[in-house]
Amino acid sequence: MANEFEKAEKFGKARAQAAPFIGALILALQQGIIFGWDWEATSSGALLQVGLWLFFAIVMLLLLLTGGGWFLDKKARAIANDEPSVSSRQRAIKIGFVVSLVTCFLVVAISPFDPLPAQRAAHIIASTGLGTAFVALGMSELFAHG
Amino acid sequence: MVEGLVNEVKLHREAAALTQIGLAERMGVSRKTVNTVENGVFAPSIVVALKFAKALNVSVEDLFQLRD
Repeated sequence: MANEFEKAEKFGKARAQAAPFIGALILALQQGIIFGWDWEATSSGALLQVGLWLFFAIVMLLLLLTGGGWFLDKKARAIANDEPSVSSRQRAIKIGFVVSLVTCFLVVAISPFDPLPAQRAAHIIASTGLGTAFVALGMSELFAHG
Repeated sequence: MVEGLVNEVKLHREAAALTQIGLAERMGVSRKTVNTVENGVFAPSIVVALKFAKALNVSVEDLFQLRD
């Protein structure tokens, strides 16, 4: 039976390895690699797609903000979300925020030439911010684990 | 690397014949905390610095100094 330290270590490594892939998945979803988007459609299929993406994005945001490990016991979770992890997350959130803002600036600059539906613009901004934050988190955590 | 901070954690840990995991368990933190602090990647808070000192039975000043 693994103790809290072993559980936290195992979870921390898994999180570090998964984070860049989660980031890549978020960016891939934005680029329509996984499935195509029919922007501003109101069919039940399109609404389901939007609902699923919103659910996924909200869970990813909560994962980024809390560090995850929701099903670990309290002590293992506290060990897994230690000071270096909190520092990595704060850095990743800062990077994601800056990337989101830069994406906003680009959307504003491009809109006169290639108008974007509001839903698509918001999707691009949220995806680039979340995606880069996860990639940054993964890189930082992998480095910290040594 | 944390600029201006020198730490002797590894020296004292090895003197106490502890592994990184052993020290982490004694302190109640993750091995990653010990690893990042030892390698100068992360500057610990006062609370964690005090935990290092207590676990290694030395003073905080023995473990961490400002670079001249």
